[in-house]
Amino acid sequence: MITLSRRITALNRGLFACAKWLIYAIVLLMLWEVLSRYVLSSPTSWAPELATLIFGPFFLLGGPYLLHLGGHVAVDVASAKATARLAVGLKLVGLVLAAVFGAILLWFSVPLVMQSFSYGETSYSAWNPIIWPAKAFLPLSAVLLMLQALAEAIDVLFGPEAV
Amino acid sequence: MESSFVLLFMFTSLIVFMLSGAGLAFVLGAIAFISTILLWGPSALIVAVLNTFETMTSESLMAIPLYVLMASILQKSAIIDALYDAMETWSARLNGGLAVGTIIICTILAAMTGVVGAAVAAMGILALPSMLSRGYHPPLALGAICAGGTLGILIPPSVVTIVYAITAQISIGQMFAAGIVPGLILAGSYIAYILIRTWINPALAPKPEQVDDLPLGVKLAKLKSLILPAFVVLGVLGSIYTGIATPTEAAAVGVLGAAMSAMVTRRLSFTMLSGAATETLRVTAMILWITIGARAFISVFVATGGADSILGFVESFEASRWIILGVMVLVLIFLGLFLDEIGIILLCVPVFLPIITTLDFDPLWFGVLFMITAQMAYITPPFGYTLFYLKGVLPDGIGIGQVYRGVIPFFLIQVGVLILFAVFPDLVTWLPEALSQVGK
Repeated sequence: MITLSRRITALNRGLFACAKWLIYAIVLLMLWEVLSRYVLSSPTSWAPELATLIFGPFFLLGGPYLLHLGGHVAVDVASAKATARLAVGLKLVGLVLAAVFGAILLWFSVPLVMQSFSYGETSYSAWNPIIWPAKAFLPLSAVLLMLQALAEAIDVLFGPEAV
Repeated sequence: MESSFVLLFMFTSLIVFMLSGAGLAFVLGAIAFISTILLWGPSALIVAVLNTFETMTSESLMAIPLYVLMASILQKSAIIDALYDAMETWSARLNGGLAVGTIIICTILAAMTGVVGAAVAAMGILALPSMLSRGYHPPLALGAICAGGTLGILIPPSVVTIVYAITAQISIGQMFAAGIVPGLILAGSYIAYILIRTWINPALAPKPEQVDDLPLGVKLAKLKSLILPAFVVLGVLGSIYTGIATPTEAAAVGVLGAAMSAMVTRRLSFTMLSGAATETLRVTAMILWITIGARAFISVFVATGGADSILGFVESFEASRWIILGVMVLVLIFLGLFLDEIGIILLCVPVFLPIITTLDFDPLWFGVLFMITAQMAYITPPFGYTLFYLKGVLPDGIGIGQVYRGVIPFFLIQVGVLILFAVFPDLVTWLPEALSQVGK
């Protein structure tokens, strides 16, 4: 059980560590756009759009590992004062909610992504790229979020600090 | 299902689950999804997913990670130490000089990075020990650090301001401009308070017994390391106001400028860029995941007619619009006791904004009032961020009680300034209006 939770956390940590570099890709794309517009006076059709397509995967992949880091905004007035047993209960409630959120997101985004894939949906912009790869990161992150919630629950119940 | 029943379900479960300490993003998202299914059946959830796809490709939201990255790189390029060093030589002869200097540094840092935690922690490490060793009254020193640190919320470029502007659907550039004058007035009031207080009672902040008189040239040379970061920030804001670049593009150029100033101070390295990217993704994932949840929640709330009924409820009051405004500000202050300001914006602004416009108030101006209430929340227990940051660096013999005592006068100043801007909206709005004239 503990091994499973460690593996999940390691997977999400790895994805976080990869995704964080995407911000520099966004910076370079935006800089290229500014440069080509003002210096070469020929704006690209693709650079800003590619940047926005990277933006979604960038922040979505950060979410699951953030759950492990405890970095999501939360109100901790009650949990900070709760007894050990109650704190475990409260933590589990939070993880169940995260899993429910992930599950519903997964359930309803998969058909939309499949649809986008099978129709070869494009963005109808001047560049007009296919957009399912960017969209696919939503169900993917939803799965990763559910897995991380599971890993956290295992840690809370069976981990070294479990009560 | 009956919509008023679902609204009741939404808000009770919101309060219950929020208090359980669960991540706000998931609380909002899960409640919104379940309410959607209860109200309109599962197929209605497609709209929520489509909204999320839209959030994923929003050009204006993309400004958030870019500003965080710029701030993070600037902060790691040793400007804080350089600033502190310069401040110590410049303010040596002044009563309460170090406390005044702390506010000035915080103001400059607010314009460069706007990261509250970084400013408070750095001043706690650099300024606090030297103020204490010089015999400053601890509450005065601690209060100045806490209050100064929060200036980053209001003074542009600030991430909180971006989130507000996007949520309220007003221009990010205008909102940035709206924060400048109020931010400076607030900083000026803190300085005035410290000067008056130490003038009445110099024992609170003794001057050093002996001042090394450095030649002016040396004093000026200490400011050298600030030139490049200052250019970066002025360049970013300038290009937004003159309309050459969107706030997002300006931020990307700002990242480049920040990297260049880090190169000048020889702090640019792979480790540094990696650390900056980690911080950026942490903050961005936090804000964007909660945005997904909050947008789902708010869209259900609006679709059920909840927003309309609140508006109707407010209109049915024959109360003066100022009383309604006062109530809204009190709600914001109250929520600030428990909740992060990003969460408050995403939840309250969509509900409050129609009321604000109906009452014929300016959303820009309301944004500034909001930023000040957020600063109040930052320095007041039980959920004051600055108190937590400072707690980590408190030396032995200084208790958190002295911090609490120290923030009281600064909190009162914030209340005073809030009232001042409420009564004289022109103080807030003239700069954005003047700049929009220039832009045309």
